[in-house]
Amino acid sequence: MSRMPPTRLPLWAAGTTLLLSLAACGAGGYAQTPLSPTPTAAATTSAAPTTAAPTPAASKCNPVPAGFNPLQTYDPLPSLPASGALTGRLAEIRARGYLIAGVSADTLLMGARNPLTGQIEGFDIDLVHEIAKAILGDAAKVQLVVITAGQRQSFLVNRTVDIVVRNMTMNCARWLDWPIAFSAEYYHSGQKVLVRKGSTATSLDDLAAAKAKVCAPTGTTSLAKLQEFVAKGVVPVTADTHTGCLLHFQQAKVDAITGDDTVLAGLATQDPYAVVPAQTAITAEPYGVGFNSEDKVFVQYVNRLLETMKADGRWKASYDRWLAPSLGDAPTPPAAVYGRQ
Amino acid sequence: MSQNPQARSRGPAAAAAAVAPPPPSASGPGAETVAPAVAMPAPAAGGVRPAYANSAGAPAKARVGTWVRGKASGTPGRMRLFGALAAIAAIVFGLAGAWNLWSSAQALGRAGATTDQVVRVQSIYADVLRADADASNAFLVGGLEDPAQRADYEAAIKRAATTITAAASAQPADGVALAALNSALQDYAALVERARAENRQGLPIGVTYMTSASSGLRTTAVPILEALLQANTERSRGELGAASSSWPTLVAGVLAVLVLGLVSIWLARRTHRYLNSGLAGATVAVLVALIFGLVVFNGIGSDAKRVADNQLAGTLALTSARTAAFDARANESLGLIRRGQAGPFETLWKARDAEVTARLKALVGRVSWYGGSGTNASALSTAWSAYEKAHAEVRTLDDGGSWDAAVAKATTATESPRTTFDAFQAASATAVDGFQSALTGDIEGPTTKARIAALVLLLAGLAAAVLSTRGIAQRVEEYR
Repeated sequence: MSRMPPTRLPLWAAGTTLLLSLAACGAGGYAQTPLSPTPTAAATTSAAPTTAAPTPAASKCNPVPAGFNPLQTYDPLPSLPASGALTGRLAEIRARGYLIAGVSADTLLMGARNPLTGQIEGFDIDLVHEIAKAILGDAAKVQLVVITAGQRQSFLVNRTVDIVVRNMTMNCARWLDWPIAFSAEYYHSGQKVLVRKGSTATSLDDLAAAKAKVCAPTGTTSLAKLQEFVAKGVVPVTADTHTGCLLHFQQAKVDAITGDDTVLAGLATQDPYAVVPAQTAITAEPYGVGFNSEDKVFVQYVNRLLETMKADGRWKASYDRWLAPSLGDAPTPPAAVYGRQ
Repeated sequence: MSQNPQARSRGPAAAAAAVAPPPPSASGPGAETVAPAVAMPAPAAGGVRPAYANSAGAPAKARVGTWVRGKASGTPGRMRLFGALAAIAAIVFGLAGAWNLWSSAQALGRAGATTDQVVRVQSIYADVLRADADASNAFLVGGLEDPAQRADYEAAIKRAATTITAAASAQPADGVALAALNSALQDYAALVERARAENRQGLPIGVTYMTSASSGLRTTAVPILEALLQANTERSRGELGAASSSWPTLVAGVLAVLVLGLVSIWLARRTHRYLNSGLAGATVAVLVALIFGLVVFNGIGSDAKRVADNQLAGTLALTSARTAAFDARANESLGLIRRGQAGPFETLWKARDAEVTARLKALVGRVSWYGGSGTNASALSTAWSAYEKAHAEVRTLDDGGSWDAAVAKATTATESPRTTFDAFQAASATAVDGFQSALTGDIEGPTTKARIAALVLLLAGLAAAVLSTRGIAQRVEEYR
């Protein structure tokens, strides 16, 4: 027999300890999981895709051609033709059986979804229903397409919608650059600012002096106007819609919102801490119904309808229902300017 | 070379001392004391006991050195040295093989655990998208939301939160990602509550809060969930691959056989005797244990491959199909909410639909079914087809200008996307459970095998060490 066994013991113990510790070392020391997948993984987002608006190459409105009046539209038809006599786009709509209108679903008073009924309603929407009623004989035969401010022109150009009734300002760039066509003016608005309750600012100049963050939706004339104040110190912030601006406002990401008085009235209604102080509008915002520039007869048809509505009190009835509580008594309906060729 | 460094060395000489230590007797020649009397650090090497180094510490130390030198010199000395080498090789083989097999068993266990985590993450994913579909749907119809739908939303959020906690304690490496996910989910739930409060006051900003919540969910929570799924799937596959990696056993085994063989040859030449029964026995023991270990590894490898190709692949196909299905369902609602602008959402719906169909088809064609007796892969495909049909009807209505009718169809309880989808999701959930438990069950066998084999290799290595030492000792005795 050798003398090994008594001294082998420590070695055995060491071996066993080594074995156990090695086994323990090998146990799941994974690297921390990253916060986003490595690029090999398939993307699975379903974030709302945005429609890229074609940017007009060179503007025909810089400078605005002499004698150009954005309010000027095509002469109205002498009278509304019988449904059987409709031609062009109007005949297509009639054959399809419903009118496709691009509208807003979150601009309270003008076009907003009523959460209690699920229906989209407002001053703009009343007009859509009147147009559907005239063409199709039924105010309900409408497919309302909810669009953002930035989608208004491209949806007309691509013919995704027949008309856009979404507080759309008639201006040179839209008439000539895109190009799209407008009906006669159906409401005269102006750009103002909405501020936090207690704020002393009443204009973009005041806000510029305070280096305030001001929100306006992308693709709007309001944003274009806001950009002019950047040099004076305003920090512009954009959102998809005016209600998106209100969301920023409520989350304290912006100090003020700028937009048309109609829109701001709708926003102020939704938040007791948002006020539209007494102020003079810094721009004139004539609203017209937007059309594809090829639908001239359609424009003339709607111009006749607007003339009729302004005359027979339907325009005022709609104004009284939606806008009078916030903006005061109905003004005289804006007068149409015709004669565009 | 002075004697001291040799005695203090923790190198091969110390190891040799460990195998062939000094005789227990403390008596020895004290005359040779040349070692410095400086206090020496208590030696940690195996064979030297601190007890020797009391009053006569230094002389004892020197004695050890002399003893080692004496033992290692001459033919018997070399025999002892080579014998120690052979014993070490055998023990190293035993330890390496046992560690290798034990790690393999651990890896199999972790493969099961990470697959459980994949299923947890998938269920969070599904619940989050389910909650979003519920919350969004509530904004489709006018007035207050359906109480059942609200309850479903609350249950989904609660389940997601609970599962996040469970997942965090199950896998610490997911902790940071899950914390971020938890915070994203809290933000989402807060926005939904805000949306609901505004909605109850009849304010349109409610819908804006809702869409903001939905898109926030998709930009913050969804990438985290994708990362979690990816990481855990990779871990699971990696562990199944690692379980059959046998090279440490192979290398240690071949080395041990080589060392034992060379020592045998050297011994045969020195002693002119061909066979040393101890060394031969040790060689055979190592060789048999090595072959046994490799066979076990081979079995684990094929078991792991079977589990990876069937139960794991099936679980992943099912969970991916479910996630894609929930995303498709959410896109259906979002398409209706973005009234008149369903196009982009329908494109996403179609992509997710194609993914569900492809995953289910792969299940039908390739994988044996573990999804429980009540279901099978083609039944799942049929359930999904029913939902596809109901979805197509909704789209036809909406695309035809009848948004209200489309909403009514999407939210009613008979043959609607809602009921058909619920049927699919219930059936697929059962199937996932089936695959998951099949996976857990099927890796138990190889895990136990690996643990037993680890013990066998450890004992074989030790036995070979004992045998070789005895064999050498026999020859050393002959020199007395």
